[in-house]
Amino acid sequence: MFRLRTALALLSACLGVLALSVPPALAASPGDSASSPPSSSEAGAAERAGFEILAMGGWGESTADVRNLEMQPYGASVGLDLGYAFRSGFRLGATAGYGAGRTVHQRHDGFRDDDFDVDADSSSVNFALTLGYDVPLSVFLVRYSLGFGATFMRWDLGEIPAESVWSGVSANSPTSGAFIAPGVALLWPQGLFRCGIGFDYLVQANGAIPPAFLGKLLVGVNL
Amino acid sequence: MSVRRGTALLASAFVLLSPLANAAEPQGDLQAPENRDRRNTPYALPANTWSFDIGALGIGGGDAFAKLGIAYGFLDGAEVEMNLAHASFGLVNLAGRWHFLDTPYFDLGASLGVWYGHGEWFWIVTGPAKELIRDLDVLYVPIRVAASSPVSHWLEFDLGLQYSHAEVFGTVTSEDALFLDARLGMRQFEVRPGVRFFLSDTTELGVMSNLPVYSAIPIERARASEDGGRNEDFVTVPFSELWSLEASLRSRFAEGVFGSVRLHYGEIARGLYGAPLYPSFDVELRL
Repeated sequence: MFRLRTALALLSACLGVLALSVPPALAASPGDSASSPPSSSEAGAAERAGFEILAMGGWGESTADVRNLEMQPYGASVGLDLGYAFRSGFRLGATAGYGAGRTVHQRHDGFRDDDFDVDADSSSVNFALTLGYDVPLSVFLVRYSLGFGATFMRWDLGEIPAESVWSGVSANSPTSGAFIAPGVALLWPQGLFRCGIGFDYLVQANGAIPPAFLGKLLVGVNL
Repeated sequence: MSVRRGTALLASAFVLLSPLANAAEPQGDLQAPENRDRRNTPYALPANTWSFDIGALGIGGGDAFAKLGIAYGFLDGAEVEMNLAHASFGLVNLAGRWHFLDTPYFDLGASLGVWYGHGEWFWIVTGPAKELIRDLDVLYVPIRVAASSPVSHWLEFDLGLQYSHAEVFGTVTSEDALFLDARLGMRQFEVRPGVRFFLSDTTELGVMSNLPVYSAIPIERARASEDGGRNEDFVTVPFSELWSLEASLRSRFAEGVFGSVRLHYGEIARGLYGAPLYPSFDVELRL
Protein backbone atom coordinates (compact mmCIF):
# COMPACT_ATOMS: atom_id res chain seq x y z
CA MET A 1 0.00 0.00 0.00
CA PHE A 2 2.96 2.33 0.56
CA ARG A 3 3.56 2.17 -3.19
CA LEU A 4 0.08 3.45 -3.88
CA ARG A 5 0.44 6.22 -1.31
CA THR A 6 3.71 7.38 -2.85
CA ALA A 7 2.30 7.36 -6.35
CA LEU A 8 -0.85 9.19 -5.28
CA ALA A 9 1.11 11.89 -3.51
CA LEU A 10 3.24 12.57 -6.58
CA LEU A 11 0.27 12.54 -8.91
CA SER A 12 -1.82 14.75 -6.68
CA ALA A 13 0.85 17.42 -6.72
CA CYS A 14 1.30 17.27 -10.50
CA LEU A 15 -2.42 17.26 -11.26
CA GLY A 16 -3.10 20.13 -8.95
CA VAL A 17 -0.53 22.31 -10.63
CA LEU A 18 -1.68 21.36 -14.12
CA ALA A 19 -5.39 21.75 -13.47
CA LEU A 20 -4.94 25.15 -11.86
CA SER A 21 -2.68 26.57 -14.53
CA VAL A 22 -3.58 25.05 -17.88
CA PRO A 23 -7.29 25.47 -18.56
CA PRO A 24 -7.57 29.27 -18.21
CA ALA A 25 -4.54 29.76 -20.39
CA LEU A 26 -5.79 27.47 -23.11
CA ALA A 27 -9.46 28.26 -23.07
CA ALA A 28 -10.32 29.89 -26.32
CA SER A 29 -11.80 33.36 -26.25
CA PRO A 30 -15.05 33.96 -28.14
CA GLY A 31 -13.27 36.03 -30.74
CA ASP A 32 -10.55 33.51 -31.44
CA SER A 33 -11.97 31.97 -34.56
CA ALA A 34 -8.90 29.90 -35.43
CA SER A 35 -8.96 27.94 -32.21
CA SER A 36 -12.47 28.47 -30.94
CA PRO A 37 -14.26 25.46 -29.50
CA PRO A 38 -17.48 24.29 -31.14
CA SER A 39 -20.53 26.47 -30.97
CA SER A 40 -22.15 24.24 -28.36
CA SER A 41 -19.18 24.99 -26.11
CA GLU A 42 -19.62 28.72 -26.53
CA ALA A 43 -23.32 28.48 -25.87
CA GLY A 44 -22.71 26.46 -22.76
CA ALA A 45 -19.91 28.63 -21.40
CA ALA A 46 -22.15 31.26 -19.91
CA GLU A 47 -24.58 28.66 -18.65
CA ARG A 48 -21.99 26.69 -16.77
CA ALA A 49 -20.18 29.61 -15.11
CA GLY A 50 -20.92 30.71 -11.55
CA PHE A 51 -21.44 29.42 -8.04
CA GLU A 52 -23.15 26.11 -7.71
CA ILE A 53 -24.80 24.26 -4.84
CA LEU A 54 -25.64 20.62 -5.35
CA ALA A 55 -27.25 18.14 -3.02
CA MET A 56 -26.15 14.57 -3.52
CA GLY A 57 -27.84 11.29 -2.73
CA GLY A 58 -26.69 7.87 -3.74
CA TRP A 59 -25.33 4.48 -2.88
CA GLY A 60 -21.76 3.40 -2.26
CA GLU A 61 -20.38 -0.11 -2.43
CA SER A 62 -17.00 -1.21 -1.17
CA THR A 63 -15.03 -2.94 -3.89
CA ALA A 64 -12.48 -4.69 -1.67
CA ASP A 65 -12.22 -6.30 1.72
CA VAL A 66 -10.30 -4.89 4.64
CA ARG A 67 -7.78 -7.56 5.55
CA ASN A 68 -10.15 -10.34 4.63
CA LEU A 69 -13.15 -8.71 6.31
CA GLU A 70 -16.02 -7.24 4.29
CA MET A 71 -16.95 -3.77 5.47
CA GLN A 72 -19.58 -1.50 3.95
CA PRO A 73 -19.11 1.99 5.43
CA TYR A 74 -20.78 3.78 2.50
CA GLY A 75 -24.21 2.39 1.59
CA ALA A 76 -26.97 4.98 1.42
CA SER A 77 -25.16 8.30 1.13
CA VAL A 78 -26.04 11.98 1.20
CA GLY A 79 -23.86 15.01 0.71
CA LEU A 80 -23.37 18.57 -0.38
CA ASP A 81 -21.20 19.89 -3.20
CA LEU A 82 -20.31 23.58 -3.36
CA GLY A 83 -18.29 24.91 -6.24
CA TYR A 84 -17.42 27.70 -8.59
CA ALA A 85 -17.26 27.07 -12.31
CA PHE A 86 -15.28 29.37 -14.60
CA ARG A 87 -16.36 30.18 -18.14
CA SER A 88 -13.59 27.96 -19.44
CA GLY A 89 -15.32 24.99 -17.81
CA PHE A 90 -12.80 24.58 -15.03
CA ARG A 91 -14.45 24.12 -11.64
CA LEU A 92 -13.22 24.29 -8.06
CA GLY A 93 -15.35 22.66 -5.43
CA ALA A 94 -15.66 21.24 -1.97
CA THR A 95 -17.79 18.29 -0.94
CA ALA A 96 -18.94 16.73 2.30
CA GLY A 97 -20.79 13.45 2.51
CA TYR A 98 -22.13 10.93 4.95
CA GLY A 99 -22.49 7.24 4.25
CA ALA A 100 -24.90 5.45 6.58
CA GLY A 101 -23.16 2.18 5.81
CA ARG A 102 -24.59 -1.13 6.89
CA THR A 103 -23.86 -4.17 8.97
CA VAL A 104 -22.33 -7.15 7.19
CA HIS A 105 -22.88 -10.49 8.86
CA GLN A 106 -20.15 -12.88 7.82
CA ARG A 107 -18.14 -15.94 8.72
CA HIS A 108 -14.58 -14.87 9.25
CA ASP A 109 -11.83 -17.29 8.28
CA GLY A 110 -9.31 -17.36 11.09
CA PHE A 111 -5.71 -18.15 10.34
CA ARG A 112 -5.58 -20.98 12.89
CA ASP A 113 -8.79 -22.80 11.96
CA ASP A 114 -10.66 -20.67 14.47
CA ASP A 115 -13.46 -19.45 12.21
CA PHE A 116 -16.09 -17.34 13.87
CA ASP A 117 -19.12 -15.19 13.04
CA VAL A 118 -18.76 -11.44 13.08
CA ASP A 119 -21.09 -8.53 12.42
CA ALA A 120 -19.07 -5.72 10.88
CA ASP A 121 -20.99 -2.48 11.24
CA SER A 122 -19.53 0.70 9.78
CA SER A 123 -20.38 4.15 8.45
CA SER A 124 -18.32 7.00 7.07
CA VAL A 125 -17.94 10.74 6.66
CA ASN A 126 -16.00 12.17 3.70
CA PHE A 127 -14.61 15.62 2.99
CA ALA A 128 -12.89 16.59 -0.25
CA LEU A 129 -11.68 19.42 -2.40
CA THR A 130 -12.42 18.80 -6.04
CA LEU A 131 -10.97 19.89 -9.35
CA GLY A 132 -13.39 19.57 -12.22
CA TYR A 133 -14.03 20.38 -15.83
CA ASP A 134 -17.40 20.76 -17.53
CA VAL A 135 -17.79 19.77 -21.16
CA PRO A 136 -21.03 20.48 -23.06
CA LEU A 137 -22.74 17.44 -24.53
CA SER A 138 -25.93 18.29 -26.38
CA VAL A 139 -28.23 19.76 -23.70
CA PHE A 140 -26.11 18.20 -20.95
CA LEU A 141 -22.83 18.92 -19.24
CA VAL A 142 -20.31 16.16 -18.71
CA ARG A 143 -18.43 16.92 -15.52
CA TYR A 144 -15.04 15.29 -14.98
CA SER A 145 -13.85 15.58 -11.41
CA LEU A 146 -10.96 14.61 -9.22
CA GLY A 147 -11.38 14.85 -5.47
CA PHE A 148 -8.67 14.96 -2.84
CA GLY A 149 -9.97 14.36 0.64
CA ALA A 150 -10.25 12.36 3.81
CA THR A 151 -12.55 9.62 5.06
CA PHE A 152 -13.43 9.03 8.70
CA MET A 153 -14.82 5.55 9.12
CA ARG A 154 -16.63 4.51 12.26
CA TRP A 155 -16.77 0.76 12.79
CA ASP A 156 -17.94 -1.75 15.34
CA LEU A 157 -17.26 -5.47 15.37
CA GLY A 158 -19.49 -6.17 18.35
CA GLU A 159 -17.98 -8.48 20.92
CA ILE A 160 -15.14 -9.50 18.65
CA PRO A 161 -11.87 -7.66 19.36
CA ALA A 162 -10.17 -6.17 16.33
CA GLU A 163 -6.99 -8.06 17.14
CA SER A 164 -8.81 -11.35 16.60
CA VAL A 165 -10.11 -10.34 13.19
CA TRP A 166 -7.00 -8.69 11.88
CA SER A 167 -4.45 -11.16 13.25
CA GLY A 168 -2.97 -9.08 16.02
CA VAL A 169 -3.26 -5.69 14.35
CA SER A 170 -4.59 -3.21 16.90
CA ALA A 171 -7.12 -0.68 15.61
CA ASN A 172 -9.53 1.82 17.05
CA SER A 173 -12.67 3.38 15.67
CA PRO A 174 -12.88 5.76 13.91
CA THR A 175 -10.25 5.06 11.28
CA SER A 176 -9.18 7.92 9.06
CA GLY A 177 -7.32 8.15 5.80
CA ALA A 178 -6.77 10.21 2.69
CA PHE A 179 -8.37 9.40 -0.63
CA ILE A 180 -8.33 10.45 -4.24
CA ALA A 181 -11.61 10.21 -6.15
CA PRO A 182 -11.90 10.39 -9.93
CA GLY A 183 -15.46 10.74 -11.10
CA VAL A 184 -17.84 11.69 -13.89
CA ALA A 185 -21.29 13.22 -13.79
CA LEU A 186 -23.86 13.97 -16.47
CA LEU A 187 -25.73 17.18 -15.59
CA TRP A 188 -28.84 18.70 -17.12
CA PRO A 189 -28.78 22.48 -16.61
CA GLN A 190 -32.08 24.31 -16.96
CA GLY A 191 -31.64 27.96 -16.10
CA LEU A 192 -30.71 28.15 -12.45
CA PHE A 193 -31.75 24.57 -11.84
CA ARG A 194 -29.66 21.55 -12.59
CA CYS A 195 -29.79 17.84 -11.91
CA GLY A 196 -27.90 14.79 -12.97
CA ILE A 197 -26.34 11.42 -12.30
CA GLY A 198 -22.75 10.40 -11.82
CA PHE A 199 -20.24 8.39 -9.92
CA ASP A 200 -17.08 8.78 -7.89
CA TYR A 201 -14.58 6.09 -7.15
CA LEU A 202 -12.91 6.56 -3.78
CA VAL A 203 -9.35 5.23 -3.90
CA GLN A 204 -8.27 4.99 -0.29
CA ALA A 205 -4.66 5.39 0.76
CA ASN A 206 -5.27 3.70 4.11
CA GLY A 207 -5.69 -0.03 3.57
CA ALA A 208 -7.94 -0.21 6.64
CA ILE A 209 -10.66 1.70 4.73
CA PRO A 210 -12.14 -0.06 1.70
CA PRO A 211 -12.19 1.65 -1.72
CA ALA A 212 -15.67 2.25 -3.09
CA PHE A 213 -17.77 2.94 -6.13
CA LEU A 214 -20.29 5.67 -5.28
CA GLY A 215 -23.22 6.19 -7.64
CA LYS A 216 -25.05 9.47 -7.07
CA LEU A 217 -27.97 11.65 -8.03
CA LEU A 218 -27.42 15.41 -8.05
CA VAL A 219 -29.90 18.25 -7.66
CA GLY A 220 -29.07 21.90 -7.18
CA VAL A 221 -28.82 25.44 -8.41
CA ASN A 222 -26.30 27.56 -10.27
CA LEU A 223 -26.17 31.14 -8.98
CA MET B 1 -21.65 -8.97 -4.58
CA SER B 2 -20.26 -5.46 -4.24
CA VAL B 3 -18.63 -5.62 -7.66
CA ARG B 4 -21.82 -6.89 -9.22
CA ARG B 5 -23.73 -3.92 -7.88
CA GLY B 6 -21.04 -1.51 -8.99
CA THR B 7 -21.04 -2.97 -12.48
CA ALA B 8 -24.83 -2.73 -12.61
CA LEU B 9 -24.63 0.96 -11.73
CA LEU B 10 -22.02 1.51 -14.44
CA ALA B 11 -24.08 -0.34 -17.02
CA SER B 12 -27.10 1.79 -16.16
CA ALA B 13 -25.08 4.95 -16.70
CA PHE B 14 -23.97 3.78 -20.15
CA VAL B 15 -27.49 2.80 -21.15
CA LEU B 16 -28.59 6.33 -20.31
CA LEU B 17 -25.72 7.78 -22.33
CA SER B 18 -26.13 5.63 -25.44
CA PRO B 19 -29.02 7.57 -27.03
CA LEU B 20 -26.76 10.57 -27.15
CA ALA B 21 -24.86 8.94 -29.97
CA ASN B 22 -27.77 9.57 -32.28
CA ALA B 23 -27.76 13.24 -31.39
CA ALA B 24 -24.05 13.65 -32.02
CA GLU B 25 -23.01 16.50 -34.28
CA PRO B 26 -21.49 15.41 -37.57
CA GLN B 27 -18.09 17.08 -37.23
CA GLY B 28 -16.44 14.15 -35.48
CA ASP B 29 -13.79 16.49 -34.15
CA LEU B 30 -12.12 13.90 -31.95
CA GLN B 31 -11.36 11.94 -35.12
CA ALA B 32 -9.17 14.75 -36.42
CA PRO B 33 -5.44 13.88 -36.43
CA GLU B 34 -4.59 16.49 -33.79
CA ASN B 35 -7.29 15.23 -31.42
CA ARG B 36 -7.25 11.46 -31.83
CA ASP B 37 -6.81 9.19 -28.84
CA ARG B 38 -3.55 7.27 -29.14
CA ARG B 39 -4.38 4.72 -26.47
CA ASN B 40 -4.85 1.29 -28.07
CA THR B 41 -5.09 2.80 -31.54
CA PRO B 42 -2.64 3.07 -34.44
CA TYR B 43 -2.59 6.85 -34.29
CA ALA B 44 0.49 8.93 -33.54
CA LEU B 45 0.96 12.59 -32.73
CA PRO B 46 1.10 14.98 -35.69
CA ALA B 47 4.60 16.04 -36.69
CA ASN B 48 6.30 18.55 -34.40
CA THR B 49 3.74 18.06 -31.63
CA TRP B 50 4.57 17.51 -27.98
CA SER B 51 2.31 15.65 -25.59
CA PHE B 52 2.40 15.75 -21.80
CA ASP B 53 0.19 13.18 -20.13
CA ILE B 54 -0.44 13.03 -16.38
CA GLY B 55 -2.46 10.17 -14.95
CA ALA B 56 -2.73 7.54 -12.27
CA LEU B 57 -4.05 4.11 -11.34
CA GLY B 58 -3.73 2.47 -14.76
CA ILE B 59 -3.41 -1.29 -15.00
CA GLY B 60 -1.37 -1.73 -18.19
CA GLY B 61 2.38 -2.22 -18.25
CA GLY B 62 2.91 1.22 -19.69
CA ASP B 63 0.70 3.18 -17.31
CA ALA B 64 0.44 1.01 -14.17
CA PHE B 65 0.28 2.99 -10.94
CA ALA B 66 1.21 6.37 -12.38
CA LYS B 67 1.81 8.10 -15.67
CA LEU B 68 3.77 11.20 -16.46
CA GLY B 69 4.21 10.69 -20.15
CA ILE B 70 6.09 12.89 -22.52
CA ALA B 71 5.83 12.20 -26.24
CA TYR B 72 6.90 13.86 -29.45
CA GLY B 73 5.54 13.39 -32.95
CA PHE B 74 7.85 13.73 -35.92
CA LEU B 75 8.03 13.02 -39.64
CA ASP B 76 4.68 11.77 -40.89
CA GLY B 77 3.11 9.47 -38.30
CA ALA B 78 6.13 8.67 -36.11
CA GLU B 79 6.31 9.22 -32.36
CA VAL B 80 8.52 8.50 -29.36
CA GLU B 81 7.29 8.39 -25.76
CA MET B 82 8.61 7.96 -22.26
CA ASN B 83 6.79 7.55 -18.94
CA LEU B 84 8.74 9.79 -16.61
CA ALA B 85 6.77 8.57 -13.58
CA HIS B 86 8.04 5.03 -14.09
CA ALA B 87 11.52 6.33 -14.80
CA SER B 88 11.46 8.22 -11.50
CA PHE B 89 10.65 4.94 -9.73
CA GLY B 90 13.71 3.31 -11.31
CA LEU B 91 12.06 1.79 -14.38
CA VAL B 92 13.75 2.96 -17.56
CA ASN B 93 11.35 2.98 -20.49
CA LEU B 94 11.07 4.21 -24.04
CA ALA B 95 8.45 3.51 -26.70
CA GLY B 96 8.05 4.37 -30.34
CA ARG B 97 5.13 4.10 -32.69
CA TRP B 98 4.51 4.50 -36.39
CA HIS B 99 1.14 5.17 -37.97
CA PHE B 100 1.99 3.84 -41.42
CA LEU B 101 -1.40 3.35 -43.09
CA ASP B 102 -3.78 6.30 -43.03
CA THR B 103 -6.99 6.05 -45.04
CA PRO B 104 -10.45 7.49 -44.39
CA TYR B 105 -11.87 4.15 -43.25
CA PHE B 106 -8.90 2.10 -42.08
CA ASP B 107 -5.72 2.90 -40.18
CA LEU B 108 -2.83 0.71 -39.22
CA GLY B 109 0.11 1.32 -36.93
CA ALA B 110 2.78 -0.44 -34.93
CA SER B 111 4.60 0.27 -31.74
CA LEU B 112 7.63 -1.02 -29.91
CA GLY B 113 8.62 -0.37 -26.32
CA VAL B 114 11.55 -1.23 -24.10
CA TRP B 115 11.31 -1.29 -20.29
CA TYR B 116 14.24 -2.15 -18.05
CA GLY B 117 14.04 -2.37 -14.28
CA HIS B 118 16.73 -3.11 -11.77
CA GLY B 119 15.70 -3.91 -8.21
CA GLU B 120 18.41 -1.75 -6.67
CA TRP B 121 17.02 1.34 -8.42
CA PHE B 122 13.48 0.81 -7.09
CA TRP B 123 13.66 3.36 -4.30
CA ILE B 124 9.99 3.23 -3.35
CA VAL B 125 10.42 -0.35 -2.19
CA THR B 126 12.08 -0.60 1.21
CA GLY B 127 12.74 -3.14 3.95
CA PRO B 128 12.71 -6.88 3.40
CA ALA B 129 10.99 -6.57 0.02
CA LYS B 130 13.86 -4.41 -1.21
CA GLU B 131 16.37 -7.06 -0.20
CA LEU B 132 14.47 -9.66 -2.18
CA ILE B 133 14.40 -7.69 -5.40
CA ARG B 134 17.75 -5.94 -5.05
CA ASP B 135 19.52 -8.18 -7.56
CA LEU B 136 16.57 -8.70 -9.87
CA ASP B 137 16.65 -7.39 -13.44
CA VAL B 138 13.60 -7.26 -15.71
CA LEU B 139 13.62 -6.53 -19.42
CA TYR B 140 10.20 -6.03 -21.01
CA VAL B 141 9.58 -5.47 -24.72
CA PRO B 142 5.97 -4.99 -25.89
CA ILE B 143 5.39 -5.14 -29.65
CA ARG B 144 1.99 -4.08 -30.92
CA VAL B 145 0.10 -3.80 -34.16
CA ALA B 146 -3.10 -1.78 -33.95
CA ALA B 147 -5.88 -1.13 -36.44
CA SER B 148 -8.75 1.32 -36.31
CA SER B 149 -11.72 1.65 -38.57
CA PRO B 150 -13.69 4.90 -38.24
CA VAL B 151 -16.77 3.60 -40.01
CA SER B 152 -18.76 6.78 -39.42
CA HIS B 153 -18.54 10.15 -37.73
CA TRP B 154 -19.87 8.61 -34.51
CA LEU B 155 -18.45 5.08 -34.53
CA GLU B 156 -14.99 3.54 -34.65
CA PHE B 157 -13.75 -0.01 -34.18
CA ASP B 158 -10.28 -0.75 -32.81
CA LEU B 159 -8.28 -3.94 -32.75
CA GLY B 160 -4.84 -4.43 -31.29
CA LEU B 161 -2.52 -7.43 -31.24
CA GLN B 162 0.34 -7.30 -28.79
CA TYR B 163 3.15 -9.64 -27.89
CA SER B 164 5.15 -8.71 -24.83
CA HIS B 165 8.47 -10.41 -24.34
CA ALA B 166 10.00 -10.43 -20.88
CA GLU B 167 13.37 -11.58 -19.63
CA VAL B 168 13.98 -11.85 -15.92
CA PHE B 169 17.47 -12.19 -14.50
CA GLY B 170 18.06 -13.23 -10.91
CA THR B 171 16.06 -14.94 -8.21
CA VAL B 172 12.30 -14.73 -8.66
CA THR B 173 10.22 -14.99 -5.50
CA SER B 174 6.62 -14.42 -4.63
CA GLU B 175 7.62 -11.02 -3.27
CA ASP B 176 8.43 -9.72 -6.74
CA ALA B 177 4.78 -8.91 -7.34
CA LEU B 178 5.53 -5.29 -8.14
CA PHE B 179 7.14 -6.28 -11.42
CA LEU B 180 4.92 -9.23 -12.16
CA ASP B 181 1.53 -7.79 -11.22
CA ALA B 182 2.24 -4.83 -13.47
CA ARG B 183 2.89 -7.36 -16.22
CA LEU B 184 6.45 -6.16 -16.62
CA GLY B 185 7.87 -9.63 -16.03
CA MET B 186 5.23 -11.40 -18.07
CA ARG B 187 5.41 -12.94 -21.53
CA GLN B 188 2.05 -12.37 -23.08
CA PHE B 189 0.11 -12.38 -26.32
CA GLU B 190 -2.98 -10.19 -26.17
CA VAL B 191 -5.92 -9.36 -28.39
CA ARG B 192 -7.50 -5.97 -27.70
CA PRO B 193 -10.82 -5.34 -29.45
CA GLY B 194 -12.57 -2.07 -28.75
CA VAL B 195 -15.27 0.27 -29.93
CA ARG B 196 -15.65 4.05 -29.61
CA PHE B 197 -18.79 6.13 -29.79
CA PHE B 198 -18.25 9.78 -30.59
CA LEU B 199 -21.08 11.32 -28.59
CA SER B 200 -20.31 14.84 -29.77
CA ASP B 201 -17.43 16.68 -31.37
CA THR B 202 -15.73 16.91 -27.98
CA THR B 203 -16.63 13.70 -26.14
CA GLU B 204 -16.16 10.03 -26.88
CA LEU B 205 -17.19 6.88 -25.03
CA GLY B 206 -15.04 3.80 -25.43
CA VAL B 207 -15.29 0.17 -24.42
CA MET B 208 -12.28 -2.07 -24.77
CA SER B 209 -11.32 -5.51 -23.63
CA ASN B 210 -7.93 -7.00 -23.08
CA LEU B 211 -7.90 -10.70 -23.90
CA PRO B 212 -4.60 -12.41 -23.08
CA VAL B 213 -4.49 -15.54 -25.22
CA TYR B 214 -1.18 -16.61 -23.70
CA SER B 215 0.47 -15.40 -20.51
CA ALA B 216 3.46 -16.74 -18.61
CA ILE B 217 5.42 -15.52 -15.63
CA PRO B 218 8.77 -16.67 -14.27
CA ILE B 219 8.41 -19.17 -11.44
CA GLU B 220 10.21 -19.09 -8.17
CA ARG B 221 13.45 -21.03 -8.16
CA ALA B 222 16.56 -21.09 -6.06
CA ARG B 223 19.14 -21.97 -8.66
CA ALA B 224 18.99 -18.60 -10.35
CA SER B 225 20.40 -17.00 -7.23
CA GLU B 226 23.50 -19.09 -7.63
CA ASP B 227 24.22 -18.46 -11.25
CA GLY B 228 22.50 -15.06 -11.37
CA GLY B 229 21.63 -15.81 -14.94
CA ARG B 230 18.65 -15.62 -17.24
CA ASN B 231 15.50 -17.11 -15.82
CA GLU B 232 14.01 -19.58 -18.29
CA ASP B 233 11.41 -21.14 -16.03
CA PHE B 234 8.06 -19.64 -16.98
CA VAL B 235 4.64 -20.96 -16.09
CA THR B 236 1.42 -20.07 -17.88
CA VAL B 237 -1.21 -17.97 -16.12
CA PRO B 238 -4.93 -18.73 -16.62
CA PHE B 239 -6.91 -16.40 -18.85
CA SER B 240 -9.38 -15.81 -16.02
CA GLU B 241 -6.75 -14.07 -13.91
CA LEU B 242 -5.67 -11.57 -16.52
CA TRP B 243 -8.51 -10.58 -18.84
CA SER B 244 -9.93 -7.14 -18.31
CA LEU B 245 -12.69 -4.88 -19.56
CA GLU B 246 -12.38 -1.14 -19.74
CA ALA B 247 -14.93 1.63 -20.21
CA SER B 248 -13.65 5.12 -20.83
CA LEU B 249 -14.97 8.61 -21.31
CA ARG B 250 -12.67 11.11 -23.03
CA SER B 251 -13.27 14.75 -23.77
CA ARG B 252 -11.50 17.71 -25.28
CA PHE B 253 -11.54 20.35 -22.55
CA ALA B 254 -9.98 23.07 -24.67
CA GLU B 255 -7.70 23.26 -27.66
CA GLY B 256 -4.97 20.71 -27.04
CA VAL B 257 -6.25 19.67 -23.60
CA PHE B 258 -7.89 16.28 -23.11
CA GLY B 259 -9.21 14.46 -20.07
CA SER B 260 -10.14 10.82 -19.57
CA VAL B 261 -11.71 8.76 -16.84
CA ARG B 262 -11.75 4.98 -17.15
CA LEU B 263 -13.17 2.10 -15.19
CA HIS B 264 -11.38 -1.22 -15.40
CA TYR B 265 -12.82 -4.56 -14.45
CA GLY B 266 -10.77 -7.73 -14.11
CA GLU B 267 -8.70 -9.82 -11.78
CA ILE B 268 -5.56 -8.06 -12.98
CA ALA B 269 -6.81 -4.93 -11.18
CA ARG B 270 -7.21 -6.93 -7.98
CA GLY B 271 -3.57 -7.99 -8.22
CA LEU B 272 -2.43 -4.39 -8.50
CA TYR B 273 -4.86 -2.55 -6.26
CA GLY B 274 -6.84 -5.16 -4.31
CA ALA B 275 -10.17 -4.60 -6.09
CA PRO B 276 -11.41 -6.03 -9.40
CA LEU B 277 -13.19 -2.78 -10.30
CA TYR B 278 -10.86 0.18 -10.40
CA PRO B 279 -10.63 3.61 -11.99
CA SER B 280 -7.88 5.41 -13.79
CA PHE B 281 -7.65 8.91 -15.17
CA ASP B 282 -5.38 11.21 -17.06
CA VAL B 283 -5.07 14.71 -18.43
CA GLU B 284 -3.19 15.25 -21.67
CA LEU B 285 -1.78 18.49 -22.98
CA ARG B 286 -0.67 18.74 -26.62
CA LEU B 287 1.46 21.60 -27.83
